[in-house]
Amino acid sequence: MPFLEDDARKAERASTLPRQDGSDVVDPFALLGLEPRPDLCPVELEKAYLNRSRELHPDRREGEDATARTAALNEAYRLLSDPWRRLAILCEMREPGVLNRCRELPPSFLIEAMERAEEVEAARGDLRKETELEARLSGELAALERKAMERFAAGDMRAVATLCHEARYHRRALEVLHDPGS
Amino acid sequence: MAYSDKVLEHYNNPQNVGSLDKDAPDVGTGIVGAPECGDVMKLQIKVDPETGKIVQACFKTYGCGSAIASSSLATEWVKGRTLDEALEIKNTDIVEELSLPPVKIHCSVLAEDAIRAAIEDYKKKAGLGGNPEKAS
Repeated sequence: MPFLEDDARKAERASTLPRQDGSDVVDPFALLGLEPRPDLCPVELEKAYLNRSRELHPDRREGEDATARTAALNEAYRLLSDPWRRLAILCEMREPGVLNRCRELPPSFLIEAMERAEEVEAARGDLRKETELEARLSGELAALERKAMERFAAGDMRAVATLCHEARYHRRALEVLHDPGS
Repeated sequence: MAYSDKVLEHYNNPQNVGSLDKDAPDVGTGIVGAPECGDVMKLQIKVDPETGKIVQACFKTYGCGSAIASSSLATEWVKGRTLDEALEIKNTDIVEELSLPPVKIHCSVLAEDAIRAAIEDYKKKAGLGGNPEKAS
């Protein structure tokens, strides 16, 4: 049997991190047996998820918390599949509380965010404009992601946290463009 | 999530939506944002320099129903008040009036911050010294 009980126990122990308020938060990287880094490719993430799912499957591991473990694993996979969530989690792991400390965005950025939201509103219903805007915003978001990866590699967690917040506005604008109902 | 009747009232029939000329000397503009949800809120006040009272207020908010309702209510409340009276509006008053649930409290905080930012901006323009804590 390739599955080692000890590995699963070790991963479980390693998967809780102390939080600022003293409570424990689950480290999704440890839960999936992955190195905590921002540039995970979807394939290796999925592989880790499937491997761990097999190990923790309720059919293989008896006990009432098997379902809870599987749920935690699914949640970890969901969180890490999103590059911005991944960056935000890594930021907090390196420097607890940094997201909150950097939550105040410069006025010039907020003015831009307001103008962007107005642009999205004006483009709604015009397919050509919507497509153009979506392409532009997606490009800008990808550039923000590259910048965030760079700053992460340089160890500047404050810059990464600010970029995570700024990206939220781009993501929001894209969500509105994708959802004709809102 | 269910919105309270008051939130729905403001959401469906928001008061004072629009913009004032941000470069006018008697207009104060506050732009604030909540990075958790990507909300952005602009609140503007027009002040009568003679009486020091807010004669007009308007807002533009891109956000959830609670953020829109909070800013709509904030513009209603600041009208007719002096700057000092407007600064007395607390986010908890907005929470109470709109029966906001705990997860939406940040929307009311945003509205309070927007009022403060608009007043601060007007004071700076009018040469009223701005925030006394920052003045040396």
